[in-house]
Amino acid sequence: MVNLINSKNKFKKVPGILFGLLAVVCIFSITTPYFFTLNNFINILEQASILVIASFAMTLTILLGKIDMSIGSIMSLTGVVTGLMIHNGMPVWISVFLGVVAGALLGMFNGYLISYQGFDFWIVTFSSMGIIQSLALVITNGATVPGFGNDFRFLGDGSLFGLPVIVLIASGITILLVFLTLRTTFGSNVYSVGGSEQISKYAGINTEAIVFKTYILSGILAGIAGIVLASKVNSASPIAGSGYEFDAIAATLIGGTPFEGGRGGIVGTLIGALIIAILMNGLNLYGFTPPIQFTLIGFIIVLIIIIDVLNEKYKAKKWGK
Amino acid sequence: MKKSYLLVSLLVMGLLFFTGCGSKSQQANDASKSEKKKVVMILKNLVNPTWQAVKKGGEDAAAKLGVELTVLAPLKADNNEEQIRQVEDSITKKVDAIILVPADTKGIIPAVEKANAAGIPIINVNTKVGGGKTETFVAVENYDAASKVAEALAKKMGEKGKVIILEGKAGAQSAIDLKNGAVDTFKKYPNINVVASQTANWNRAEAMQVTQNLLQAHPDINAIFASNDEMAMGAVEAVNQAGLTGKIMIAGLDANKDAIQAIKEGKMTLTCDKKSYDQGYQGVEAAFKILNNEPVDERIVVETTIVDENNVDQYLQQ
Amino acid sequence: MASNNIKLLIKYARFFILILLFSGFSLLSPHFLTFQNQMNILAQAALLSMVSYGMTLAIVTGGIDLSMGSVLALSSCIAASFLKSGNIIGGILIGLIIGFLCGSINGLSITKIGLSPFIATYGMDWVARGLAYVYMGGTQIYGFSAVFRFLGSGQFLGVPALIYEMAIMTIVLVFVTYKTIYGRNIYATGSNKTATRLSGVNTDKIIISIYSINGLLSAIVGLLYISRLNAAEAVIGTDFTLNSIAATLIGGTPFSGGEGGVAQTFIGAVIMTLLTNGMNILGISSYWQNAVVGFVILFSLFIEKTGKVLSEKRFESVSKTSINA
Repeated sequence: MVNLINSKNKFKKVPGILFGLLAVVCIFSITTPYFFTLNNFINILEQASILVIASFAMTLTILLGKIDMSIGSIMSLTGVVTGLMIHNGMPVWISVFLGVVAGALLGMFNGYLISYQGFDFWIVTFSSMGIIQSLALVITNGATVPGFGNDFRFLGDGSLFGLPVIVLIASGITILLVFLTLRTTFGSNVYSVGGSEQISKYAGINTEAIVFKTYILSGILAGIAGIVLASKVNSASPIAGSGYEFDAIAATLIGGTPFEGGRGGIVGTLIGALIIAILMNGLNLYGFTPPIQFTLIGFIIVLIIIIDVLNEKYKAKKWGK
Repeated sequence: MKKSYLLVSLLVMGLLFFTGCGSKSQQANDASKSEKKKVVMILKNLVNPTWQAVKKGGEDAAAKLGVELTVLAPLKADNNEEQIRQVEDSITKKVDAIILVPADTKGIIPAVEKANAAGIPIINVNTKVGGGKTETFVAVENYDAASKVAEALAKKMGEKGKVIILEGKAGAQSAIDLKNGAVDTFKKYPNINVVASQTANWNRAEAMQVTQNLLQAHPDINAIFASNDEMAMGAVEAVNQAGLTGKIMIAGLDANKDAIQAIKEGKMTLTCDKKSYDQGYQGVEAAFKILNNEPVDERIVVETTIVDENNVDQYLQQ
Repeated sequence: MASNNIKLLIKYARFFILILLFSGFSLLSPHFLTFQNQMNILAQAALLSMVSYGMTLAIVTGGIDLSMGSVLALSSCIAASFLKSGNIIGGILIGLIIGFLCGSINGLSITKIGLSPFIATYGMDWVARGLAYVYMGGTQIYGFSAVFRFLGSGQFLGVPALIYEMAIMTIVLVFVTYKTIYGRNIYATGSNKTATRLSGVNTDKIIISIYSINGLLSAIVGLLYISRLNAAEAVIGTDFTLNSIAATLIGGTPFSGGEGGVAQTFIGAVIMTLLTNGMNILGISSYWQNAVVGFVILFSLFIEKTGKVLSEKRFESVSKTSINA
């Protein structure tokens, strides 16, 4: 029952925001000569990939009606950990694997405190955000971990079949997560916990386990994002991920997953992250200075969401009739 | 359904409104001065007066030499990844040259390699690019500037006493360079002790707070080394409120206007003019020469000047 | 009874942390427990606590206000150009009006358009910051008159003016939120908006008023801030957003809304400032500072939980004995 209602909502939000994406693309295509080229589109996809992965980490927790403020810090720490392991002579694939494991452990830390200890998710992830950030600074002593070999750089900088590897990774993760959230019991349980934790519990769902697992998944995704970022910029800075959490929240909300949880989903977030990446790309191509870019991004994001909200209200009215 | 189309067209109109002004001027530029060389200057941020000065210098040079200059900077100050994107976007835009002030020496290398592959010359300004091919390096390096300030401060302290250091943002390249420059220089003087070193995130308010706190633990310090003038001014306020003005020497870097004023008033001891304007100017000049196949030195040294009570008047007149 | 016990214990959990930190730092450093340093800590806590009150009010209504730091920058930068020209009253008024307007826009877009508070204030954060950058054009305005500077850096009877201002603000807000009908409605809106609306309270008005108050608070703090620093620039206040969320959370106001309050946040802000002050005095590396704040928050959660468990146990035993009797 719960699932039926949700699965309708899951798709409902997507088209509205898709219009926003198309509108932004159209406008930049008309007004900027360099925008509407295959190269620039690949460029945008490449630039959006890391935000897309990080935003998925955020979206999963927001679908639960919760949040993960520590995503940016987890990105920094996993990047740094992986980087240091490679520099200490570990094989690349083991370092990457252990980096992802580190992400999972950090997610587990959050998840355990939130689900089994019953602590407030804001407070927990906010605290761990500070703790993890400090760890990254302490183990590197504040310095950036320098460049790596070509095998590691392949992840973030290489290309395969004419497409950047980073885009392929993001696409793969997108497909996996769409499948996971829309086609598995785990996914529908995430939606129902987000809809109402209480009702889900009565319906026999082990809500603690769902929350715990989702935070681990979120940690893994943030870990992957951090490693790919380190690979892309060929160095791991202890503050590389800071600020990502807010962009990831914005991408999720623009994509139509509200803070209350239980609605929206991965596809919307993908579109939301693309909108942010396209805005930044387009405004750079124009050559606007940061002050103007700041103001415009704020206006445009709010405008897109206002239109989306009004559109929803209108639809709701029509349903009412 | 009709209404939702209306809403979409509203969105389109709104966006056109916001972006329209930019495109008009650009088209005008494209039409009338199509033979102009397109140069992009990418800075660390545009929130600090230093980079405003670099921008101004670059723009003046561009106007004089007839270069079309676009100045970009990351929205999150000193964000390496955003800088990489801006290099990538500039490659997409097929600019003729990129003037680059990297926020992270190592992190920027992939972007430089991409520009190399696209055959776009990179003119490196202020902070060293750690790899890839750059045409020239126009610089006052932070490490050297900090050493010079620390040197001058040590002399004024009579080569002895206690000093505290206010660092920039934890983990940021320039913060590390500046701190190391100061620490290494103070080490040369056996009677000078660095009793505390704390971050104040380049920020005036935070510097004021940190200085107030440090003054509680170390009321007997002789000098404060701040990694930029913003933080130095915060220290000036804290020292002033503690009634210690004149007893504690305060040094900064950047030669911002209010810092120069403070030196004139005797509240601050010295600062370093990093010739930010010249860095920007010479960066664009070097780009112009390279695009016209004129030879350019591998390294263009911009001389720094220490500003203290002796030469402050000539700075005030500027 | 039991709920009273829990509330008391939760309240004491924060006090306990505060006392623990206080005595710890006093033992570790002889420079900590001096009159000068205590005044220093309170004056430093003043600005943070006032911004955090705004954040707390938004959180109590079940929202959040991410725009306070930027609104603070925008209003104080524009006010600064008036102040610099010698028009103190005009400058202060302009600052307050801009703050109020930004806040009202937030409130209106949340209630009338139906944006989530996060998005509305997140957008405002970008816009206000951008406008501040555009307005200042990368320059600074510095050197204000002595009269204006007294507000943020003056002293009266050996106590910094900021401490008086914080005290007044705290008392006013505590009175308004705990002792008036308006205050009760704020909490009611936060704990159950629909029920409150059905009972005849205009919840939209409450929410708009809260965000407008936040705008005003941002402007006030902005003015005090530039008065204290003797300079205005577009970058100021960027760290206030996260710090005020931290102060609110440490104080014990949950994001679920309808609980907590200004008095708790005051303690949260003092704990935050005390931590930085103590760590600076002890010379602990700045790299550790975020971690210490995080650990303190988690630690207070554990204490709170233990307190709850204990009080529930006592409640059980009390009810058992009463049944037996």
